[in-house]
Amino acid sequence: MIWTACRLLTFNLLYAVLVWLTMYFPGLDLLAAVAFVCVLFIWSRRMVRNGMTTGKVMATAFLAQLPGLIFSVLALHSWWRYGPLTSYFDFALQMWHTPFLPLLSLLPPIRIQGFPLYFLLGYVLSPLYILLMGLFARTLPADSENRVRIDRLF
Amino acid sequence: MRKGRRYDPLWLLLLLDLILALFIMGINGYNWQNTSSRVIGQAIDALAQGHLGSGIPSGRGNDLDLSVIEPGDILLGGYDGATYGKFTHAAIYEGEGIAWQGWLSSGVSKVRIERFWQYDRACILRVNTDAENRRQAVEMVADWDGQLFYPLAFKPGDRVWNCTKIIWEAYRRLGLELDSGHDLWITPDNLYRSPLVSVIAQDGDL
Repeated sequence: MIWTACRLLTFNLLYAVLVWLTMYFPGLDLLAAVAFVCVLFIWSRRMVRNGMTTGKVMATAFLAQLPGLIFSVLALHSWWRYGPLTSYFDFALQMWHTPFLPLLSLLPPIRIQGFPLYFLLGYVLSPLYILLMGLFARTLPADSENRVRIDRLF
Repeated sequence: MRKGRRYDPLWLLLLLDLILALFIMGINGYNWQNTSSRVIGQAIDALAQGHLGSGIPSGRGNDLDLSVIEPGDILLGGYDGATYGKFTHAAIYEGEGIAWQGWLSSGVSKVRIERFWQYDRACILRVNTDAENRRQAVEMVADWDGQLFYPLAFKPGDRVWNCTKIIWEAYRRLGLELDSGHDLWITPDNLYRSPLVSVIAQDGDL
């Protein structure tokens, strides 16, 4: 589980760089972000196939999202203690969630209490990621014939 | 049967990152000779000196004369110790003491211009064009109200912005190329050095 979490974490980092670079070619970044979600789907199914329970898949996702969770907690703590945006943790959080950024850019430009939706979502993306992995793990029964087969990927 | 060699997809992803980065640098004219003088080279130098991010406020502030500002003018502010130059933030003046900026916690949004007194250095730039063009540039930026801010946004595209890209893109659509560096990103320093702008006022540790 730890090994898989480390690989998932490394994947997040490398994919963040990839999505950032694809932003140079508008449109390609959206494709890359959608592909990221697809890979997470395949990966979570693969974990189930390798004998992991949904709980273990979510625990693995939790470990892989530790940087995002820690940045969220530190940014919120800094906000609560010293006021909004007083630390670099918000920036670090946005960098960490770069794989989702093109999708966030499609959100309507609405503000809640003066803060844009994309900014507020940054704080809950890590828990959402964990839930998403759990949801993906439960989507299809382990022995389903509809399973996506990319055996060599992970 | 011959067994195929298995490549770790994470290594392939790293390789893809490197190839894409080199490709983007290549099509933007980066080479071994000029990289040190361009944004990436300067950022690497700054990082090597421990300068990460948008600098550290000294608390000194500045006394920039804001009375001379007109709609469409560009406000720049900066702290020491930044990764990407002397100036670290930019905004375009709308009028009535309000300017448009790109900011992480508010996206493309309005800001009071007095905020630029907090910077260690600040200046007002006027784009060398008529007042109607400057007004149109402001209107264009206002249309992007609330859109997503990302500090490392590249120049292409109109979904992801940073503080300088909103200004550069608005004037570019009016036929005025303000990026003096012709680089991957448009930095506040590149706006400052543009031959298409005049410095109207400046103050602080310049």
